[in-house]
Amino acid sequence: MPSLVLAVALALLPLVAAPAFAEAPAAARALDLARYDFDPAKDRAADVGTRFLADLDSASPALGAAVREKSRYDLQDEEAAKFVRQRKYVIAAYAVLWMLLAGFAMTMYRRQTRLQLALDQLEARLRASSGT
Amino acid sequence: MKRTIFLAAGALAAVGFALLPFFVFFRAELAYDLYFNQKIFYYHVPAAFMMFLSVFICGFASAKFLISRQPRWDDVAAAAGDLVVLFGALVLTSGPIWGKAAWGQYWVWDARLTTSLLLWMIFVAYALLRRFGGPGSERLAAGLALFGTADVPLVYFAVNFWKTQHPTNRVVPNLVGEMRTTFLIGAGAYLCFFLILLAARIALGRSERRLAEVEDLAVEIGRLE
Repeated sequence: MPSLVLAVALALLPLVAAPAFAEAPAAARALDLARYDFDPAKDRAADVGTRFLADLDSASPALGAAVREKSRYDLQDEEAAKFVRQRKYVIAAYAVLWMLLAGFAMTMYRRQTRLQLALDQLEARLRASSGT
Repeated sequence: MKRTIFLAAGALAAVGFALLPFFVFFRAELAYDLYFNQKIFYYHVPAAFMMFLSVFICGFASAKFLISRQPRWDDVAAAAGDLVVLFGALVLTSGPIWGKAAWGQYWVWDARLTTSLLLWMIFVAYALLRRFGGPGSERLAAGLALFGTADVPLVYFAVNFWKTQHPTNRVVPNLVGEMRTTFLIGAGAYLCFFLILLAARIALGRSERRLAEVEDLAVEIGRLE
């Protein structure tokens, strides 16, 4: 029984794998993937991708442009989502900063007003005590 | 002369704060990985610098007061102490909001955050002591301010001493291009604003003290009951 299952699977393999091979771009299959191994001593994170895109451009400029376009769309989606998520925090931080500064300025203004009032009262009391 | 400096600082602060949003949102590049929430940095870090500056001024003036016992140094220390509380509050509110956007949580008990909170609490205690301590509490407050000043290196170098989640001290020196320009505009505006607040707060404290002295004197010479 297991051998029968294996035989059927082997018979069906080309049918399953054929579409995958058909979808793989011809230029990509021609690329030497060993060139894109990441070497932490030499490469920064984006270097491998840069190398790959340069090779892809020279092998198939149209495919290179399509990959770039797809990356751009993905990046825009990601950035837009991040921007929307982060905007409220930036607004909140700025609002709190200005509220605290305004609160401090208000406190100082109130103290200044109280001081002026105390000065006026002292002046009035001194005048009253000296009879002028 | 003092009035001219005061007005010049006011004008510079106004220009700086008017220009800052334009530079923050339209000129400074988006930071890699942090993206838009990095814009909080241009207000958060200068506020932290002003907090440290206030602590140093408070510590220096407190030391001078303890040595000379001249009330003018106590006025400076009290004013700077209030500004530590103000700028510390700015740092400790804007920082966690950035933390929520960047790390997913408002607060972590990381060495930089914890030591900053401790520093702020020391100066809240200082302000409370000044407010409610009664006569003679100035010297105790001055001692507390010196203790708080000694905490500043611990806060600043916490990111070197311990493994922390907070960004390191290398961020500001490594700023380039428009990010650097924007940061300098922010720091300049904050510094001018700080000088205005400090001068105004010193003048207010001095006036309050003199008023109390005049009242006491008037009672003493029998002009007031």
